[in-house]
Formats: sequence, C-alpha cells, structure tokens
Amino acid sequence: MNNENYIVQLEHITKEFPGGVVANKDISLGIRQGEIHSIAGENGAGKSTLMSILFGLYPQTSGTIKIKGKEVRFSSSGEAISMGLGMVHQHFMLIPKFTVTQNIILGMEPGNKLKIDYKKAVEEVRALSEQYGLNIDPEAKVSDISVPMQQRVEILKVLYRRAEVLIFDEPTAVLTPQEIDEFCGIMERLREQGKTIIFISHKLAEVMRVSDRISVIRLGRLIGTKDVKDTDERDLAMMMVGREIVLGGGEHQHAKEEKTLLELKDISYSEQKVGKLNHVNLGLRNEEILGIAGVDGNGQEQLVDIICGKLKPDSGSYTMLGEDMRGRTIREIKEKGLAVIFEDRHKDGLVLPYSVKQNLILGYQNRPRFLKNRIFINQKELDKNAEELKEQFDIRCGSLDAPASTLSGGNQQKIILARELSADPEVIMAVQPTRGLDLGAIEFVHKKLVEERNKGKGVLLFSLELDEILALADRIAIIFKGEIVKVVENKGVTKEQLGAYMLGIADEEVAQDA
Amino acid sequence: MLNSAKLKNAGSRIAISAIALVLSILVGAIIVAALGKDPITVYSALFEGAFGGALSLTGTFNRMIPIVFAGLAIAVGQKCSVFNIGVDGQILIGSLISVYMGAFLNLPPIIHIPLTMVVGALGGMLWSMVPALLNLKKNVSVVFSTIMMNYVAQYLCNFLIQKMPGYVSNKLATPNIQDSAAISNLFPTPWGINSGILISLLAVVVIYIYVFRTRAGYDLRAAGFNRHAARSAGINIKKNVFMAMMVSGLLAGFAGSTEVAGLTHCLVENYAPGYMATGIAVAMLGQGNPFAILLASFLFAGMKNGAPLMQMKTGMSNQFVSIVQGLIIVFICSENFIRWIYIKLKTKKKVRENGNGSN
Repeated sequence: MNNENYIVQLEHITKEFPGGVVANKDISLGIRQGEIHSIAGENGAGKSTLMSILFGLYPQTSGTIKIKGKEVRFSSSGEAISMGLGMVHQHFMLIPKFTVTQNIILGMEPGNKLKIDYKKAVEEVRALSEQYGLNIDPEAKVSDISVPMQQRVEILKVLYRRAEVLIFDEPTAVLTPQEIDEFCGIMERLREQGKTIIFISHKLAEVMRVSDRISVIRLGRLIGTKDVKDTDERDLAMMMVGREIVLGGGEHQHAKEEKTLLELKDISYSEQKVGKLNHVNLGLRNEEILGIAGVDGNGQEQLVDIICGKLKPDSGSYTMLGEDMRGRTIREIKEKGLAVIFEDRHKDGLVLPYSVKQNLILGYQNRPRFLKNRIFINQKELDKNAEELKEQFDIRCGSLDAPASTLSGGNQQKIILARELSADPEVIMAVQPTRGLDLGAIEFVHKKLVEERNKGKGVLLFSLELDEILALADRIAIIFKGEIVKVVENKGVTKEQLGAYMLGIADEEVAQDA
Repeated sequence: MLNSAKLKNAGSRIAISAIALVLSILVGAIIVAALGKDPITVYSALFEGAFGGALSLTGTFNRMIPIVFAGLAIAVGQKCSVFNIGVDGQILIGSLISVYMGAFLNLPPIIHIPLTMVVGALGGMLWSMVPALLNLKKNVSVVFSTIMMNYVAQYLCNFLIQKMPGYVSNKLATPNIQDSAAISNLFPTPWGINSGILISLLAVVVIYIYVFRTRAGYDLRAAGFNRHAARSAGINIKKNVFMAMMVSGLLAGFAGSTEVAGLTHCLVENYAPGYMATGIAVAMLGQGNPFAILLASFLFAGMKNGAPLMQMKTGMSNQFVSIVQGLIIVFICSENFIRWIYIKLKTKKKVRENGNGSN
C-alpha cells in the first residue's frame, strides 16, 4: 500500500444548510492514491453530503479540499470531473432507450458539431470495457440489460471521462449476493489499474470485504479512520451508531405444543403461460421464524401475493389455522389472522398523504374499537391508539398529525410494524422488512420479530439478505425456480451451503462441499 | 383536534388557492388591458353585478346552487381518483326526471316536493351508474364513457322534451312543473333567494361528514390516494370506485332537480349551462374541501352573475368569466409552481427577518 500519498484531502470541512442543519462538522480525512477507502455511516449521518461537496455539487461552508496537493474550489461537478473525479450514483442516470455507448458519450460526443462519430465512440467504449474486464456490449440498449450491467455502464461513464478517483454511492444496494461478488472483482481490477476508489456504504460486510481503510461518520462528525485489519463489523457498527448493536434472535428452543399455522400444499401458479410456482409445499409452525431464502425472481413475489390473497393459485391448497384460504379476499385473510409487512412500504404499506395517526389504523379501520355507531371514525380512539403505539414502538415524528411522507424510512417502517403487530395476528409475513433501513432501525425490526416469535406467533420471513435469515430464522426454506427445494434447521448451516441450494445445486453436491 | 401541524397544513393550502386566484385575476387583467380596456373598470363592473345590491346578491346566491352541487360531485369523484366528467349529462337527466315528476303528478307539496327532488337526483345517479357498471364489470375507462354519456343525455333529452305532452313550442321547453312541486324563495323580492340554497348547504355538510368523518370516507380517500396500499389493507377498490361514481351522480342529479324545482320550473331544449366546467374549477380551487368549495362557488356564481352587467357597462364580453375560470384551473394544476412561489415568498420573509443567511 502507498504511504502518505494523498490524492484527495478534505480539511476541516463543515457544511451548514439554510435552516440551521449542520450536515458536516469539521471533517478532516485523506484519501491515499490507489486505495479503496470506504466512508461508512447511517442514513443521514452526512456521508452523502460530504461526497456531494467533494464532487462539486455544492460548496462547503468552511474548510478546504485539495486534489493532488493543490487546493481547489469547485463551482460545479463539471469542474470536479475535469480534475479527475467521477461519481457512480446510487440511482442510475441512464436513458433506457439509448444504447450503452449513447449513454456514455452523452455530453461528450466525439466528432464535430454536425455529426457524432458514433463508430469511434463504440470502439472507444469497447476498448475501455475490455481494459477493465467489464464485458459490456457497447451497442446494447440499456433497457435490455440487467441491473448489474447498467451499473457497469455507469462505471464506464466515469472511466470514459478519465476519472482517477471514483466515488461509488451505495453501489451494492441494488445487487444480489452473487452480483456483489462480481462487483467486488471489478473494484479489484480498477484498483490494479491504478484508480482510487471511495466507497460510500452502510453495508458493513461489504465494507470489510473490499476496503483498505474505513472512515466512519456519525451525526456529521468523523468518528475515526481505521485500517481494515484493525477493525471488524461489530467495531464499525459501534462507531456508526454509538453503542453495541445486536442483530438477530439468539438461541431458541422449539415450541412445546406444535401446531401448524399456515400450510401450502402443491401450490402451482403461472402467469401468461410462464410457470412461476411449481408444486410448492410449505408449512409454518407456531413459535417459529421460517426464513424463505432465494435469489430474487424465483417465485417469492408470487408466493407472497398468493398468501396475502392478491393472487389465486392455479392449483393446490392453502390453509391457515385449519381453514381453507383459497379464493378468500385480501380482507378475509387479514381478518383470519395474517399481518403482512410488505416489501415496498411506500407502495403497499402506507398511504403517504394520510397522517401518522391515520396510517396506524390502515387495514384495521373496520374494527369496532375505531368506529362510532359503526359508521363514523372514532377520532378519540384513533388518537389514543396513535399515542400508545408511538410510545411502544418509539416512532419519531414531529406531530402524529403530520403526513407519513415526512417521516424517515425507519420510522415509516415502525408505523407499519406498530400497526401490524399491535393487531395481534397469528401469522406475520415480513417481506424484506429491513430494506433501506439504518442499522438502528434494522436492530429494532429484528427485535420485534423475535418478540412475536417468542410470544408464540409464526413469522414467515422473505429476505434477500442471507445474513438476516441466518440471524433470525429457526428453519430456512430455499426457493429455486418456483419450488421449495430444501428446508433446513438453522443449526450449523453455512452461507455457502445456502448459496448452493439457492442456485439449485442438489443435496449430494452440497454435502460434498460442506 | 386543532393543533399546529393541522393549522400549518391548512394555512399553506389556503395560501395556494389564494395565490392561484390572485394570479388568475392578474392574468385576466393583462388580457383586459391587451383588449384596450381598463382592468379596474371591468373588474368593478363585474363586482357590482355580482355583489352590489340586493338583486345582484340574490342572483349570485341563486346561481350558486347548482354550482355547489356540481363542485361537490366532481370533488367526491376526485377523492377516489375517479374523474367523473359526465356531470353535465347527469344534471340534464336529473332535470328531465324532475320535470316528469313535477309536471305530471298531482300530489300535496309535502310529498310532491321531496319526490321531485329525490327522484330527480336518483335520475342523475342512474346516469352515472352506467359508466360505473361498465368500469366495474368490463374495465371501461370512466373518462371515456362519461363523455359519451353526456352526448347521449343531450340528444335523448332533446328528443324526450319534444315528445313530452304539453311541449311549449315557442319556448322549445317542457311544460312547467306544478306549483305543488316547486320550492319557494326564502324571502320576498328583492331578496328572492331560493330555498334550494339550504339544500345545497345541507349537501356540503353531509358530504363533508361522509368523506372526512366516516369509515366509508376513510376507505374512499385511501383508495384515491394509493390504490396499492388500500388494496393491501383489504379495501375493495372496485366497490369504492363504484360508490364514488354513484354519489357523484346523485349530487349532479340534485344540481338538476334543485334548479328545476326552484328556479327554472321547466327544461328547455339544448340546455347547456356548463355547470360541470365551473364545478371542476370550484372543486379545484376548494382543493376538495366541501366548505372551501362552497366559498369558491359563491365567488364563481358572483362572476357569472356580474358578467352581463360588465358586458353592458364596459363592452367586455361575458366570456371573460370563462377565461378566468380556465386560468384558475390551470394555476391550481400547476400547484408545484405555486408552492415554489409560496416557498420563495416565505424564505424571502425569513431572510429579511434573520439578517444575513449563512450562505
């Protein structure tokens, strides 16, 4: 590793926004040439602000930035780009109808004013792609390529503009575990070619995996910069949140009296002649968390929709608490005792223009408690319910009458949890319940799910994060190509084994590798 | 129940409508000036015709009645994200049915009046039920079917009016309804405000309670704001859309029946007072709140009532009122633009108060 050879230096950077919010407080850190330096912190900690300042999106309130020892003051990101900085954004900025090349050269088209030398551009893009082992077809249309491929186009955009320092903003948020492996490989190759990488993330496993050094930011301040060999995930988590974080459920014995809460037998479902679910067999018991593991797109979506009643299976039986649920409406299934924490809280979990109070009864507004004379909403009970749940679940909001859209992601998820769990369901189906949440919020969600399990409920946990499933589940079911290929007890099973099952590798081969 | 969060929200919403109104008046003034007339003179004449004196005010109040109903009809649909633009047709059918009830039956007023009013309103609801059913069963877009139904209503009414026994050919109108079906004015002339205004006030209160205080209203608005979340919560979207159409049609029907029973007492061929367009404008200006819609209706009724005097005194065409109406719709639609102005005004005020900003 290079010695004190700083390519980027941030000295005493402070950023105050109008209104009094101080996003960065006196942050000083140095990025060494050729290293992969991660900036870790919770959502709202100030890491994105810091990088936006570096990238010239807005100026700092005080402090200096030095690139290769020379002080700079950017008034636009164009200037930052010309100094060799490039940013790969979390939310891609690509035009779907354009080809890869067209997207890359946009704003920098080779050729003269009248004619774009497209052929030359294609060759340049192809050469770059080969140099960095990115495997991109320059003439493919962006709407036709996969998400990780689109990310590589974003990387190429930055390389095309001769960036020396690449800033990645939460790049693994959109990738599956397998794609993350490939992404880490790309980062290695970039480093081998002499690039410097700044990696913004709150996913500690990946941060530990790729970084040379890690800087942790909390509440606008730099907590510290450490070499990767001098720290671990627990240490980083503690630096990020300020206290010990415990994820997962801990040891748990099985229930004394076992009963099956939910059962799917031979469920099949196809959409427009394409089979999505193929003779699925699944049983959820009381007092357990059953994790459903699998690569995205193997039938989880359809399974969730069938269980909550949005879709009717083509064949098979679905019973909950002994009663047949096939053909029942969403409301009937809900009233039978199913609570769902949907994957997309903005789409399925909340009516954002409604207040926090109103969202806290969404789906339960028919209960006698919340009605007056069966027709009118009982405003007093609504208010009381909101006060109680705010307390119990620590929902942080300005006013309970504020629209739910004004709350942070973590607090919005708390509304959903509070509402669903307080309704005392028998079965809880949680789909990606910690997506996009802070470490603190993730810890909270895990704690609540475990509490429910300990109370005797059954939790069906759909998650794309293997770490989460391994931390919480009592049993793990792996779904592959619409089938439940294996159900294992969560005792001594490894990520590699699960990964193998998730890719459809048969039992004997898995046992050999274990 | 009233707290700072709610007040702040109400405050900014009122501001947005107020700004939209002011902008429309300003742009209207520019148009007037461009036509070579003095905006102040024109607006004064309009104001005088709207609110200047007993007769003007009475006219305004009476014009308000169908506009309130039309506004409520549009607003209720909007609450469930349903665009009921069949209100004109529903008003026509409501009027026609009221005429049938009022002209050809002989009953004591205590029965005749409610019968005429309610059955007329049900006529409007019947007319909205067709597009509602088409949407429910066959997924036909409400926007298309309601527009078509307007045309059908127009020609059907003309045909039935001509065929009606007692057709008054020199008026091209139906015969008048019986006195027993008519609803009287509240006060003697010049304050001859029709009692239909009380029914419209009642409608405002009832609709407010329905939309904002009942569980059905909670479901309706949830479905309107976010179909996915409402469905995931077990709310029946199709049922709510249907209900919204029915209530909307019923309100439109009342626009027709109150006008027939109170003011016109008959229905003429090719009757096209354009209440729906005004209804859309007041629903938007009132941002869906029934009481705000009442206020907005008063304003628009004033404009419509004052237009003839304005035309007479200044030569400005009374179509000018339609222009202002359209401008209001445009400005309310550009809500984000208005919010931007509102925020700009607020921060300018804050900067002045705080001295130097930190940038």
